Amino acid sequence: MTVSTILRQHRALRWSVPACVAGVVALASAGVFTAQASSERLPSKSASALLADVQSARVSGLSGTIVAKMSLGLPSLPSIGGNQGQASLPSLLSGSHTMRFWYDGPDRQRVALLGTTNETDVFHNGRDLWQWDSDGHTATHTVLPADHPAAAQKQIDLTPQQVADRAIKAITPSTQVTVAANRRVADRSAYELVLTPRDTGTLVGSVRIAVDGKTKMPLGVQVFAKGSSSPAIDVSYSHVTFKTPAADNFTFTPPPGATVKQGSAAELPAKPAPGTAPGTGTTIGSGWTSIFEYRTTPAQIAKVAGPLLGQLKTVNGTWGHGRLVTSALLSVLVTDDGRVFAGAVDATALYAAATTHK
Amino acid sequence: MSRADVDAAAAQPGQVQVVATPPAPSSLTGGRPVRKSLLGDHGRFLRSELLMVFRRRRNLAILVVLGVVPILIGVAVKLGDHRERGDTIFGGITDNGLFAALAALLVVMPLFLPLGVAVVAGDAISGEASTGTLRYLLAVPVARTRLLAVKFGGILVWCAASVVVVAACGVIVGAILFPSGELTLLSGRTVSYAAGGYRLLLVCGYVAVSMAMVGALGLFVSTMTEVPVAAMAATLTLTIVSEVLDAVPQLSALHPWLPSHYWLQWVDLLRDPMATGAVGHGLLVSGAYILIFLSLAWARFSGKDVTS
Repeated sequence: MTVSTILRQHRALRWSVPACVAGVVALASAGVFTAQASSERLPSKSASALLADVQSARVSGLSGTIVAKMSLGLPSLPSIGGNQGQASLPSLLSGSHTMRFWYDGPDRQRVALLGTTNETDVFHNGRDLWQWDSDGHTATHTVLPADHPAAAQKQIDLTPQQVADRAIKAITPSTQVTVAANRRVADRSAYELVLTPRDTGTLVGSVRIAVDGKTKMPLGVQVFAKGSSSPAIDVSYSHVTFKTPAADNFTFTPPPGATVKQGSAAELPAKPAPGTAPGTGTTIGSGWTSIFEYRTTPAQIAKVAGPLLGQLKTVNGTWGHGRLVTSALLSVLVTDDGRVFAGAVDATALYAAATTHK
Repeated sequence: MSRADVDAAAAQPGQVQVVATPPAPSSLTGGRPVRKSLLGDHGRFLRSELLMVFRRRRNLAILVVLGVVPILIGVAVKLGDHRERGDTIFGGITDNGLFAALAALLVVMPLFLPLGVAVVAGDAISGEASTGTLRYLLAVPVARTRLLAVKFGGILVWCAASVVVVAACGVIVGAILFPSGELTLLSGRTVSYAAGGYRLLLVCGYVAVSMAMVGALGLFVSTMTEVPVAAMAATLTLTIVSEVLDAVPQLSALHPWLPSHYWLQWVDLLRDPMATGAVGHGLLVSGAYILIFLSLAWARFSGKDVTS
């Protein structure tokens, strides 16, 4: 009996063919067939040795694709900051975003933020900093001062390396550092460094940093809110190559017809990353429960976040009146007298800070 | 239709019978796998299928509508207000005519193209059944698997033709109304017109594969009913359901599994350097759905009682 005869006699069996096809496709997409590669074990390493490796790891060049997923539970933010051409950078605070990143030492980087039908690029090549906004067909050229080597990084602040650096800076005696089971990120074997705050006052449950087994470069950072099993922030490479990219990746000439603006180094936008300080301000407390305080004027706040502010919950207490945003990982209190308090803490801690820092 | 008819048809001189076991006694199951090694025979079958598809006035009307889209876009942009530039792809039309083709593809991708493909694919089997030609077709004799293969071949050519009509009309309108020099890619870097044309070709290929997925779905639905309009409507409805689900942010976990999720990923081919990762993923997703729908169509059609 041939297969075709069997199929002819038992019609129901025919449906096993599409079932098998669907099964194979499902298994393939779940990565079952590529899983054997992940069985390669990395030599075990202590948390402190790994931590030291991460802090000293610097590669000479790389290119890759970074996927940043933010589910902070914030209301969807309109483009705050008001800096045109950069309008898409603050939008990084919510949703999923794909970036392409090219790196060739501190002097040459390029980041492309990929929109569905558009692209925002930052080219940093020596003292030239070009920002390209495809929707506006606008190129902004900034000549960096000679003593401003990190100016570009200020813009390009969401690579796993930079996010990991920030998390490691937050390590105080109140942090427990462990190495979890090996993980696979960007199709590479990676250690997983788990930073767990001992301080119970913070909303951060843990920070998990995937560290490349070979280069010790952070390949991904996940921030979990307390009691949550899915990350509130996940910035990871989906693909990475540790090879110096070709030089022409970093050069930019404005295309014909583009609006070319001259930027000034002083106007470089502030860091868009959550939980970090935009501009200047003071930090209250230390470690995971530190609260960032920013003093400005009510008029300034209304200018920057006017329409958004109206949607927020009004709160008041002994410290005064204001508006509150709470999310899984971050709370922000904007008082009516022009103070902004933000931190990875709950609202009560912000009220306490507002009371003591009049 | 009686067994005698089938056997008489199958036993025509010149037909080479490969199958040794007799067909199941119940009914017309599976047809008779009469095979000719000559490719010419398959070619003739496919050609007659293509003639049928491309000679239908309804289908020609679809192609005309698809071709009009880039013309409308080009004329509207030419006559429109030039102070408002529009977004990247529409704004690019005034700089380079190739963008007229790309903008048109962007416009027809969510509805017009799937509609055209759903009409042809939904009609593939059910159309024959509704006009009563299916049983004669199978009595010729044509193995059912081969009939499905030829129908899907016709659908593939139709998908490619619809995409090419949109792109070609866009390129022609763009070349007439707008400059055709260097093309500014999404990354703000320029390539020559020829290199831009090459990227447009790649885009067309990607869009055609995405549409072939709709075609495979349509072919499967078409084997389920004898009412062509129902098959067309069901195909289009399922396609739109996928697009609607893709637009609901709360379902983001489901999105990578949706057939239409990667449809606009061809935009990645317009970046510099080309971002091929997600494009490859999109092709894999389309390919997987094509396999699933084709095997479903085969399971349904080869075991079906054909009475009309």
